[in-house]
Amino acid sequence: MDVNQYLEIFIDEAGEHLENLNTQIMNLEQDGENMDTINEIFRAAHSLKGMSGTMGFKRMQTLTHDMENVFSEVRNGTVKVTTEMIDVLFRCLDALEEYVTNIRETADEGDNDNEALIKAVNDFLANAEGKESGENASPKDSASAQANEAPSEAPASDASAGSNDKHKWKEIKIGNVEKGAIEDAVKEGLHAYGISVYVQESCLLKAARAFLVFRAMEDLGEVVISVPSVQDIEDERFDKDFSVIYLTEEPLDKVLSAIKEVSEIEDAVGDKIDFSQTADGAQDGGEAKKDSASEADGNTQGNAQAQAAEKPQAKQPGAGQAKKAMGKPIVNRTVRVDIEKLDSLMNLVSELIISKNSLVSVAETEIGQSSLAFNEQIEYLESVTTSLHESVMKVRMVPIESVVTKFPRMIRDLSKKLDKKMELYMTGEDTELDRTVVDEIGDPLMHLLRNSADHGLESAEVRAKRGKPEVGSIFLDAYQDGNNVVIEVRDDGNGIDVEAVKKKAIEKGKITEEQAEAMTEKEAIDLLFQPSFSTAKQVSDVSGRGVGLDVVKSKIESLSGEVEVHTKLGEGSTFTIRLPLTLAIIQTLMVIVGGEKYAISLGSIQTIESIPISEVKTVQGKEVIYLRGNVIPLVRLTKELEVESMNAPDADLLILIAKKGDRYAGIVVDEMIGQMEIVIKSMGKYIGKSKLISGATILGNGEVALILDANALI
Amino acid sequence: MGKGILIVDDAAFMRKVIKDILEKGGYEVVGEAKDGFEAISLFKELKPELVLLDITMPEMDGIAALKKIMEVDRAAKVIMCSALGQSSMVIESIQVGAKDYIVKPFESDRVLDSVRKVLG
Repeated sequence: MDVNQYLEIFIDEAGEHLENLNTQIMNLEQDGENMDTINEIFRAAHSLKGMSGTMGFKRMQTLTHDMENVFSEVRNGTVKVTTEMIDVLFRCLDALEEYVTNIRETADEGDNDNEALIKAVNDFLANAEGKESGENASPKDSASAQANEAPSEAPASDASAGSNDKHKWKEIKIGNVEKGAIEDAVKEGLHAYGISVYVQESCLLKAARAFLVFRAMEDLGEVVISVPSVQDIEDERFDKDFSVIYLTEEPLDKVLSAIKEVSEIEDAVGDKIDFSQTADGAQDGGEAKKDSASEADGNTQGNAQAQAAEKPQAKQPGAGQAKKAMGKPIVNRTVRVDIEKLDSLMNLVSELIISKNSLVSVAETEIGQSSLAFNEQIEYLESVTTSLHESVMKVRMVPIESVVTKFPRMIRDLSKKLDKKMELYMTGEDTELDRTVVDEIGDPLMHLLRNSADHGLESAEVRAKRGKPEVGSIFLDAYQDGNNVVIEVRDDGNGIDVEAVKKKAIEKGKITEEQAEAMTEKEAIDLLFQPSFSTAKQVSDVSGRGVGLDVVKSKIESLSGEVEVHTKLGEGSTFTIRLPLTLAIIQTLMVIVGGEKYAISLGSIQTIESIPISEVKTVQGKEVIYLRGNVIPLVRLTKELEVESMNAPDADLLILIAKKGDRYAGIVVDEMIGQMEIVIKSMGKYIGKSKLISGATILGNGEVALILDANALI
Repeated sequence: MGKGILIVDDAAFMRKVIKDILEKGGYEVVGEAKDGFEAISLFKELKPELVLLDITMPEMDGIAALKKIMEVDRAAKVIMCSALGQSSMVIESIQVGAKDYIVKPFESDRVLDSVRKVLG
């Protein structure tokens, strides 16, 4: 079977199962006896096993199979959940993730057998078996016996030793009681047959197969003796064949063909019983053996029935759980869509908006003005394209949940590694962001969390001295704020020691002592975001290799977002990430500078002011204005863009007040056109990176306008 | 009894694999369900001539679904889809009335062989 066509869906679904496993194992650590959680883990491992087996990923199949076995025992209550088990489970999860990553990259699971891990998993089972060894065989054992692949225990293999005759039924020892019963039956006109049935070598779940054979036989007659016993067969303690003594009215051919109708049956052979022969055989075996065999076998029929009656009862608790689970909300109906298809849909929407913009500009000319209906239609088109844009945007939005669910696990690992007690509290996991942003945001957030865990939180002793709770808290809060999504990583640790940062910067030769003196707290903290800067006194395994905050910053900026830090020494720090909801279409203010049109994102503009030139003051050689209690530095775009202003030097200044974090700037432009929804087009590689310009857009009349990044101006 | 086969499995991946196997074998798949509840309602609605029913599913597992299906139609033909280590559940489902079972990972020939035998 060609499985490559299923790779994509396999990877997707395996990813979901792994995520689910991660969450559930975390839950399990909190509550080791929660049946819902245990069932969920069992199911996820089970599904993964089936999927990977189908794809031919043998190693992954083996590992998930063993995990499933452990959970089957946990479900039965024979194995207790322990911290070590959780550790091992997490390592299993890591190994599975590695397999899936390999599969994603190379379509192959790789060649890591994870033997140590599999051994660790099986040790839990071995312990459980050790405890149980004194007890009688129970159906539970079948799973473990099978896991250990120890068919040598099967009594059938003893019987088959030294015999290459297919008619193994002849080896069955028939006791006197059965013999009498068979003879009576024969007198009543029934036929007595000895039948041996062979299951195909490749057959999985032989027990169930044998069960089907028994059912087929019992439709036509009665099984008197079975070797191995029905109990053993059900528990899969037989090699690949079993034999029965059978009473029926039907001819032998009919019975044999009914048996062969069952799938995966290699062969079935049988003969009419010739009593003198088998009886002799029985005599050959020692008396004791005969007795035990006859006793055990005599009970089989009764056993099978008693079991049939017991089984449904034994399963009752299981059914109860199924009912309990019914209350859960039903998952949203979803359709998997290739992200490329969405991208192309988004492009089409973009084109539509451009074309709408051009219609708007036509409408403003004399052709349009003559017709009221034309204008109405344009307005309608405008509202339709806007909602279409919003819908497509929403389709691309995914909750950040997929990224943040792995964090509790990470913090847990860090807590062990760093030997600090800490707890992660998350809110707003359902906050949605563009898929491309969500894919990229994981690493920066991970960096920040590690940073908090390692540098932020103090050791338990220091915390105790400071009168803080022993367990440190890290918070990850996400929420939507206007056209932005804000993600905050907060801790109640030490906060940033500004003086230590300055000292370090001087040591590294990044700043002079005089510069350090003059630095504000904010400027000093900004040093942290410079490449290869780490204040950790020791390079730890977790963070502090000097790759960190600068990478975080550049990643966030490449997503058109920004990072801010607030810190209070001794009380903790907050890293705030602000990301735009969308990267493709934005609302802008169109302005004119030096005769050229530019777009500035409306999101960053607070107010628009007209200020007489006389109110512009100069502080330290910089132009500022004093506005509603704030001193705001001015940025003259003509100067930044190196163009000539069209306005007279003494005309009033048109100023856009922009805000970045808690800093303001007044951006001076020549003229304003108005608000416009624009489609961001990349500048391409030829122009290279310009800090000021974040892209370009095509206007309704076909003109190209550059998009200015207000953040870069502040 | 209607026509076609109903596939029940919580994993979309498995449903697709089974569906492809069946369709390549010339069978018609009339429906797919992802848990026991869906299976029962689709069984009533579609009256398929055969159901391939996964044992391990959330909400309502295969055996519970099988019991309900057998209540709806005593003559329903159901093949259980199981995995290694589920012997006792397979046996239980056969006692409840399943006609046969197949074991994951699925092999095309084996699935088709079982379907052919059960459909007669």
